[in-house]
Amino acid sequence: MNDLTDYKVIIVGGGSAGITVAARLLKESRALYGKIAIIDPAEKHYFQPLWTLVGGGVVDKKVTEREQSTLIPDGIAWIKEAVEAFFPDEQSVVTASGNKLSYEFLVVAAGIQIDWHKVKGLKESIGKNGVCSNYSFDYVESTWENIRNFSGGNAIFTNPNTPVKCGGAPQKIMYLADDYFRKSGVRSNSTIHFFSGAESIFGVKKYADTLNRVIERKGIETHYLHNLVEINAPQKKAFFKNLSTDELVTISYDMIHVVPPMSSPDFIKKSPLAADTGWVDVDPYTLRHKKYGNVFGIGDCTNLPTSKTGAAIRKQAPVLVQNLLCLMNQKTGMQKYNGYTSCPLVTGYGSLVLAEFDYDSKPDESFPFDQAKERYSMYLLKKQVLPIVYWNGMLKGLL
Amino acid sequence: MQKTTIDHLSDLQPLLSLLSQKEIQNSLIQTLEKLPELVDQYSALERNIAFIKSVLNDKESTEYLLGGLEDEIGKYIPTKDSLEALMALVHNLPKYTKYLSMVEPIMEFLLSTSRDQESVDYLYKGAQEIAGPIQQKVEYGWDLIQRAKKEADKDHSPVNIFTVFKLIKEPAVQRSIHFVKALLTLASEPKLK
Repeated sequence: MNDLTDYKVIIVGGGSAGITVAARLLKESRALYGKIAIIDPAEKHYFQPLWTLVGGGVVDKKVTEREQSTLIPDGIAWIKEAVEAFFPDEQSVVTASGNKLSYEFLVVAAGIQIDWHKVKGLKESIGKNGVCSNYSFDYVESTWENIRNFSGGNAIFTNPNTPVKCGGAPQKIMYLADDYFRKSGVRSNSTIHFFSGAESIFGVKKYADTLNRVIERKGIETHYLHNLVEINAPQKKAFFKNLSTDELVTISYDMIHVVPPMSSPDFIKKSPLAADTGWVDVDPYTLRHKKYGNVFGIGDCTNLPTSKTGAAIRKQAPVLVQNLLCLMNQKTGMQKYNGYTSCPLVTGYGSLVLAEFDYDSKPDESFPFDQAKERYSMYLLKKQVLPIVYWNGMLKGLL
Repeated sequence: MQKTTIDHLSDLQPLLSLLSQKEIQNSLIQTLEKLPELVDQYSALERNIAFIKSVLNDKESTEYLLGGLEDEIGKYIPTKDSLEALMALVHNLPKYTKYLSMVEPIMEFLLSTSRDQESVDYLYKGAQEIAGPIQQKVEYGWDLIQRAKKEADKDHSPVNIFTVFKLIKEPAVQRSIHFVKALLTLASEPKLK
């Protein structure tokens, strides 16, 4: 346990963003060695993007998990507690055990909160009676169990009307399920439904066009502006609210993959750092807090108007680090983040559309070919390359 | 006129006066004590100078010495070309530093990956999953060819026209003939145009 209570930089959150920022700060300035603290109570760290393929039966969930202690960069203090409150006027945070820690600079990288309780009947049903979700390490294998054992009927895949981490994940598992049902010979006596709280399949037209063709090819029934509000697991019934008419729609299922509603963590929502929406209120280009100049925000907990993905964090981190150091050393050279984010959209076993776009929803692609086309190479990129880039590149502050 | 003893004594008076001083006496004693050491050092110096003179006077020895030095030091004496290259290197240093900065994180990433056993295992397993089915197909195909060869070697029955007719009726042969026919038709199409 670290005895220091004063740090040059405190990073709240030891997930993808927190560790990436810490590693980059040390790379850029060795003088910060021993002066940065990460506050996070979690002992395990997950590469969550691979949970789609775990749910699809392609990858073992064990490869997505590592000990947090092996990932904290050398020279960074790890305070294994949860932050309870922020006091930005006093430049301090208070942890759940009552410890007060002071900082010169604060980086809020707390991630997103999953609100299982906001769908009535969901929390007690998850992992059984045909109810599954890829959004939990504890329950992701139940998705594969349900897909593998599906013998026909209604298979429902949901997407809430809240921001979520990885906006494409709700539909990716659906395409894999369709592929598997065809392989196992049950597709002809199955109906796949996509109930989404959003208005369309995807916010960027170039990729939405491809996805709509995929949906048509696969014969999937879509229901937009329908938000899951309740699950009756014993009766295998799901209740959706039509967001246009407020009408309640009831549908029976044989399996249902739920993407739960999500929000900013409660301890941020009630803090002075939050905007009206509850997210950390930062400038969309500099990632600096709009009110507290020595506070920065990154990743899923912020109100950055882009999709919440690990790829976005990879581009946000160098900008944040550069801007923080400019402030710290009173130098010019602040950088701007353009809203880049990416969603590797699995459309089947062995095919993927690599969506990359910016704040203006304009494609911002890395490869010199049409990324809206379903490709095996991009599927391999997601499955084989991205995990390695994550553990050994991004978390080490290298890529 | 010859000097008398008294005259000699008068000439020596200043010296005698000096020698009567205690400090002078002590200095003289110290000098005399160091004399053997000084004589040895002088003799050594005399010998060394004599040696150097001898070497310098000996042309063969001089040439051998200088030639050896040339071989050793000559490698390191910058030529015009190497000086020009050095200037070019210094001139381009900002560019090379930029390239190295770009390559450095990639190299560190590759090193980090190679040292991470879990990542190496994951990549190996992934490669096996891709290569496995291909390898199986190749092995199956090769095995089929080997078995067919063995069967053919055992078959000594005479081949006549009826054997050929029977073979033509085989579905696989029929398909192959149709394929070749279609290929030839398509290949000749541009020529007709």
